Amino acid sequence: MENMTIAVRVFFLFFLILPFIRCYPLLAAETVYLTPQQALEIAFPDSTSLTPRTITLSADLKKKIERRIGVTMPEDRFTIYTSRIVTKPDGYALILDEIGKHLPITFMVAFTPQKQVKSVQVLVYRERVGSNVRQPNFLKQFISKSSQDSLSVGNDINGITGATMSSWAISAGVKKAAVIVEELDNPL
Amino acid sequence: MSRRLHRILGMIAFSVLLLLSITGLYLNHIDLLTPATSSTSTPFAARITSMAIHPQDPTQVYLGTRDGVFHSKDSGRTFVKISLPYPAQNVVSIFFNHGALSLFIVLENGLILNATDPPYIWQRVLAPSDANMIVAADAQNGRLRLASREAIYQLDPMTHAWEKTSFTDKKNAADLIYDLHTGQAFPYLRLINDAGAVSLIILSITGLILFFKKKKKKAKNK
Repeated sequence: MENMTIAVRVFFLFFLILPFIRCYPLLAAETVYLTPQQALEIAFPDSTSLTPRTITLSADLKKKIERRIGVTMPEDRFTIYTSRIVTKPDGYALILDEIGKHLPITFMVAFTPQKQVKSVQVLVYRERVGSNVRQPNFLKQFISKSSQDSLSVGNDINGITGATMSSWAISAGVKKAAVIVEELDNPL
Repeated sequence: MSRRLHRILGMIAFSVLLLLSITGLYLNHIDLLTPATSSTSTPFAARITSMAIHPQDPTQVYLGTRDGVFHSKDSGRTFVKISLPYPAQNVVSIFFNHGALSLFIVLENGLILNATDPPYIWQRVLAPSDANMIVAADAQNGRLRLASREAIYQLDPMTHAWEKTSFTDKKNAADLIYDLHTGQAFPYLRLINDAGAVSLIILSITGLILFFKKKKKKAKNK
């Protein structure tokens, strides 16, 4: 009988807190997982020099990239980090902001000198729901892919239940980064 | 007599529980479990949810489905799946902005894409942050309107801000029940529902096995 009373209490408590739980996804919660410096060190552990270079896309090049990725880009300036081991090219990286459901996700895409994805790391996640796009199982799917790949959820990337739009955004962002890197004449 | 009635009712309850558990599990993961269309040229394997006809060229037909957007240039005789920058799962509405020739695609989860005719460079329009599930959409002279189960939202083309008109001041209990059933009421409810549904399936099947084992034992003893 006593157990029954406890069960009823738990049941009512659940319905009391339900409206608050319903508001939970609306609350933003910015979490910084990595600084750009930390992410670069993880992506290029053997690097001896990391040089940032800000590139402004011309209107024509921007249009060309938009046509290739199929979506407009709000930004036309990007900072590309170039990594070298002494004088040998080691790769490069781009830090992008891509809107998830409502807020931007900041992430870094690192490339090999052959313009293949080396790693993807989430730096800042702002929405309450969907932060599991940081899962290595999701992010490692992008490794070795290039701009020639579809890089879209449902094709060559498996999405994450509960982080649908965040996984779509990261995939679209990686595609964008891969196309930008390919379209730039000499990123290194 | 009462034992027989108990068994009959038990079997009915077993069938219903099994059916509810399996369908509940399916509804919670409809995106993952709905088979994608095998062809990119036929929308009919996917569930068609909406249709738009080009205002100046009626031979051009667009179909929104559970598995993407299809385009026909011959009044619907043949279709080609449009390549989109995001997976267009669960298209709620596809329409032309009246007065302009831009096409809108609205997904249930709030992803809104807007583009003029081919080559389709899509622009993402951010949905209102409190609109949980979009059920309908339309646009006129750049004024995009969305309907969720709780409100109608109107996008001001000048300020790009959403104006919200709530349907009622009272919260609809049916919505909450629906959200509880489909696992959308709060994060991780889907997982809890899944665990419950899988448990019910296991309990129903093991219960049936135990029931027949007991029957066999009784028959042997006799």
